[in-house]
Amino acid sequence: MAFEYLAVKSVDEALVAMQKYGEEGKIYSGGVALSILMKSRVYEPEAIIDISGVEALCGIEETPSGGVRIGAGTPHRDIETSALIGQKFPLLAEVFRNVATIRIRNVGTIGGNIIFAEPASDPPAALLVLEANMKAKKVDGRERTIPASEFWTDYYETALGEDELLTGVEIDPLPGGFRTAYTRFTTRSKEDKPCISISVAVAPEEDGKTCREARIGLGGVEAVFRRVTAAEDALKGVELTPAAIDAALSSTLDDLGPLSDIRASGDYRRHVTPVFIRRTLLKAIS
Amino acid sequence: MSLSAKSVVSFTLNGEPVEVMVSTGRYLVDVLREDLSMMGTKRSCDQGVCGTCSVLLNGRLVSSCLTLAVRAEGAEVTTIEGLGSLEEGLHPLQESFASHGATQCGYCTPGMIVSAVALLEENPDPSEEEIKHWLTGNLCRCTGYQKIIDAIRAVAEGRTEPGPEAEVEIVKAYEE
Amino acid sequence: MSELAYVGKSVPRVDAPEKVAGRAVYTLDLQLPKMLFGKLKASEVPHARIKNIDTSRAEKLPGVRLVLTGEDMPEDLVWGVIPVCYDQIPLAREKVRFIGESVAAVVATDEDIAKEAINLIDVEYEELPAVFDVFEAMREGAPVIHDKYPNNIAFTKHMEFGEVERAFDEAAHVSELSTSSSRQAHCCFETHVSIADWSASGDLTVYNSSQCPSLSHQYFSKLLHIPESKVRVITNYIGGGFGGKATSKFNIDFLSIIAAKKLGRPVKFYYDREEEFLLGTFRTNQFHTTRIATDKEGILLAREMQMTVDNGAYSDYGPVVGAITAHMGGSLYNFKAYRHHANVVYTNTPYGGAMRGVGNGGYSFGTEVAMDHHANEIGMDPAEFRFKNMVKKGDTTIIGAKITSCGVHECVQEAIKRVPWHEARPSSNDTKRGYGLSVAVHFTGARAMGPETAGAFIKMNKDGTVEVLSGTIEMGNGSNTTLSQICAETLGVRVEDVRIINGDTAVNPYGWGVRGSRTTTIDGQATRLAAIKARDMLFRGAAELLECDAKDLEASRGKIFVKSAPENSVSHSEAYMKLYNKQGSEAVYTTASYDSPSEDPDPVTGYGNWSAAYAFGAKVAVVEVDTETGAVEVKKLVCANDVGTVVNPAGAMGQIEGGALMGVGYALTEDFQVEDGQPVNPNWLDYKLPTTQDVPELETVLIETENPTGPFGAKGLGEMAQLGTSAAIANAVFDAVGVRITSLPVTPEKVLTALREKEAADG
Repeated sequence: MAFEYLAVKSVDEALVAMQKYGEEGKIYSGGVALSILMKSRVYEPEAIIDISGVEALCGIEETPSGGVRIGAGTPHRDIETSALIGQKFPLLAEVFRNVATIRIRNVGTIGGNIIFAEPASDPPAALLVLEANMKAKKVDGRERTIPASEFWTDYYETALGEDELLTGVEIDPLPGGFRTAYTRFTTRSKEDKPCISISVAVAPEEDGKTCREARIGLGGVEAVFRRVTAAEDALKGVELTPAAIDAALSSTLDDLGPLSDIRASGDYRRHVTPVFIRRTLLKAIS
Repeated sequence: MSLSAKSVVSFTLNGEPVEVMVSTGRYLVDVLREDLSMMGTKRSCDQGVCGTCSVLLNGRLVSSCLTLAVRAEGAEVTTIEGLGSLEEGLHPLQESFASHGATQCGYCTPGMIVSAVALLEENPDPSEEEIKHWLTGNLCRCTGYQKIIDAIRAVAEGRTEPGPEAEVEIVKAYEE
Repeated sequence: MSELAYVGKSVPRVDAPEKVAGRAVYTLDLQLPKMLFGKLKASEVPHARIKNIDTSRAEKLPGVRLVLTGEDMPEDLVWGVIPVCYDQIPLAREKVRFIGESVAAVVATDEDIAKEAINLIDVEYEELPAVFDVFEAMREGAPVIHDKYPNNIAFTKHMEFGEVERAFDEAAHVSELSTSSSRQAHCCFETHVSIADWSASGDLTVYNSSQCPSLSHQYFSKLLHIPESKVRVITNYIGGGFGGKATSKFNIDFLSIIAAKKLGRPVKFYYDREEEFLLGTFRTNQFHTTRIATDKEGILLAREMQMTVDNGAYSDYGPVVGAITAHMGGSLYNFKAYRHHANVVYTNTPYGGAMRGVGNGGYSFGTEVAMDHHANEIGMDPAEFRFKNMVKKGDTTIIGAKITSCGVHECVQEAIKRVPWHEARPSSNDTKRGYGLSVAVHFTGARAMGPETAGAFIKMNKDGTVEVLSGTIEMGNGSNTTLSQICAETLGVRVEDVRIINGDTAVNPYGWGVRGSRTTTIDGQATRLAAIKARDMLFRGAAELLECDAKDLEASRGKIFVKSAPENSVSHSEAYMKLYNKQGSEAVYTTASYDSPSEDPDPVTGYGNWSAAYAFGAKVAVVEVDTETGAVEVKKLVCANDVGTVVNPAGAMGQIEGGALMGVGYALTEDFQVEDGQPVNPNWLDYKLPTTQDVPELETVLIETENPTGPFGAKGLGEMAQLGTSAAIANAVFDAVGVRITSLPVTPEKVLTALREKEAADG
């Protein structure tokens, strides 16, 4: 297979190339998923627009609000090992430590991960509970912010337009009192993609036990990453004991539409998702 | 940089400059093996899962089966052949793998050793858990991994010979 | 004999230096001048008549040199593992029988062009009704897959001894359990590869990745009607075999041979990872119903197994699986009556084969889970139940197996000793711990398919170093090292002075290759016998030099010396030169051929001492079951193996650890799924091998017995290393949470479903 290979050096160059090739051009960042799809001839692009050399798209920096901005082209490994991330968002450091394998983390990027939108993935659930904002730039130069809650729209689909380049992910600091935790559950080998990936952020009242606010992000469970807001609402004011959490979850996850795939059936996911949510909440406050 | 269908890519391979004409859709593993006859780097799953094609690209551990060859332009590429040789002396990890019996069929071995080199570069004294976490992406069908882990721990401890953990318990059948 | 110099020592692997340096050459690495590349066109339908194959667009693509279809293959080019079941062909002819079957092949100047051309071949199919389930396939009116087998039963094996029904009628307790096993793929890291090259004078050289070069040689000659002298098969190191490269995977060999002949250039075919799943075979999936009868003391009276093997669309080792498990079943326990009935059934799915324990992987899961179930039913400790019933040294079993060495009782003793077997199982709110036991037997030197031959030539060099030309090959099992040790020990040379040369049929003796846990024992014996001949020659030279009788001499570590006065010694080189430097000089080349001293079972009843020795093992698994999710974690696995005399302890440990982890994969994660004929996960993104993080604590114990048929008392090990792991884990799950998982793999979902059912039943 052969294609035009454009190693662009700036966001503007990338946008120009995107405009030129339209659907026939593919943005190549870490190149993990795209390479696999090209090898199986799912994609046979006319041009590859390699953005790995665009400095503006790489790196992690502190924002004026005290949060972080992560360039879309930042490899997972850089997020995993970033001191800034470790200090501000230990949840992200832990999640990114467990994405795929070291070789994939060395090249795969946060942007590639969230745009690919494969349901069996860890970062999106964490970005949901951190209420991250995705920054995109259109080929005409206009910028747009897409909240994480609106970013994933369908099975392998996102709100990002064909004519938009994801430039970064911005995360504001969590309000005071939030504690976070994450659970990755695989049904096969430890290297497998997650069957269920749950991230939570929970803010207990001053007593340390009663839930003031909880955010629960689901990955791997359904076709689309999302927060289970009904469950979050039901947990408000509840003392975070196993029994009370189970009671709050029992009636609020009825609308779960779990996937059936090679890792587990939908029925299984429906049954164990509340177990993992409960365990992750308890881990967060322990 | 813009390259059309076939282009020359120049990079440093194990310290030596190389130039090779590649089609843009070719992957580094294929160029190493087929165009440069560097057969130490293996290809097995061809999907970035198994780790047999592990190489260092500017010091960073990557799957060469998921690395477009054009991406090696200007880069330093290190393969198993660049770590040590039978003629000029093996790398301590190579020595340790050999003395620990950490290689059986040997097909995963080059990638496994390259991966271990990258690990010790970052973390010269990894715990068993850290070794296991790092090597999750290097599969082996023969050894059960324990001897591989032991071989890496040994080098972290400054030796290449097996320690007491390699002793196997032998019990004579009671009647015989 | 004085203390052994090398046997029993952890001599470092002789192949390690070139492997760690990245310099070991595998067949997939070979590039010949002017070599062309072949690719295969796969069927997309499970069962269809081929109406037309239009190759014209492919043929026109620049760089394409040849397109082959089934019509281009000789009609008599049909093979298999056992002659009554020959049905394998390189390219589909008239019909396709599974998704993935090769319907055409392209040879081109490079791989990309060949791939491109494959997509330009248009195949027109007339789809036929297909059948994917073994039980449906046996029903009246099911689609017929091969006309020769109207009921889709490729092979039946029935073995019966004693009064089976009477034993069940009179038993104090009878249990019955149905079990099934999954398709486990070998996942060799080097996929199957074949390169054929014809010389101008009509000599054929094939470089392939076979575990058995001599058998490749024999099949190529016979099936293509070429004299054996005109065929040479060369096998370099192979990147794992595990039975997947034994004997019969000749599809791409024949294609490369035929294409190279037509084109006058070397042709290379190899499987990509997906083809390796679809065409490279896997551990057959099996279904069993086991009935067990015991008296009131828990002594086994009878065991019956009704077994159904999913053969897939063609017969590879499927029939052997059905047959050989009948013998295995009768070689581990003593019974008063025994029945094994196996049907090997065609389905429109990819075909299975032999994998590390031919048939015994799935079989030992079924039978050992059933044994555990029976022990539980009669309220007896599963280890105690085994002790009461397992064979002992000196027994001749109901099927005629003569147990001349046996460490299975010690295996169980030593294995359960390493866990708190008799103590209460620890548990918390949501995790429960359990211990599970299984035992297994495997053959070493079985006459399963005729003579079990091995050959060795010893070529002594004048400087005292030695080359052993062996009929086996090194596939990672360590045989080049153990054979070096056996040679050095016997001949009395230093182990570093021995070099094993193998993998070239033009040079090496005939031998059955590396398979069936036979290399250390059968090839080891051939090596030992040839070395004895060489040693005896050298002793004559040494006796002249030392002015003594040859029978007073001994040799060890590079010296030949007088037993009673070891200071009187000469080197092997000196002894050799004494023979050589005289009128009527003698060169020291010796040969030996060795056939397993086992019996051909009676063709009607199956009775006979079918294996030269029986290798035993026990595994104890410690698991933790998460009762809320069904997840099973193996915390520890104790592997106790009766290895006869251990030749290389570190090598044996490596085999056992690797085999055990392969067993853990079989138990928990590995499952090549085929749904309605469609392969679901033929790649490593979707088929999961155990990783470093999936390894439990592995504890290995070698139980030494003395195998009278093995060199220095050694026994086979490679297959035993894996066997029993899955049953031990499933039995441990039962021990932990009281649910019996009867199918592989033991997934969290199966465990949770069983727990929920149990909870509902318990109220």
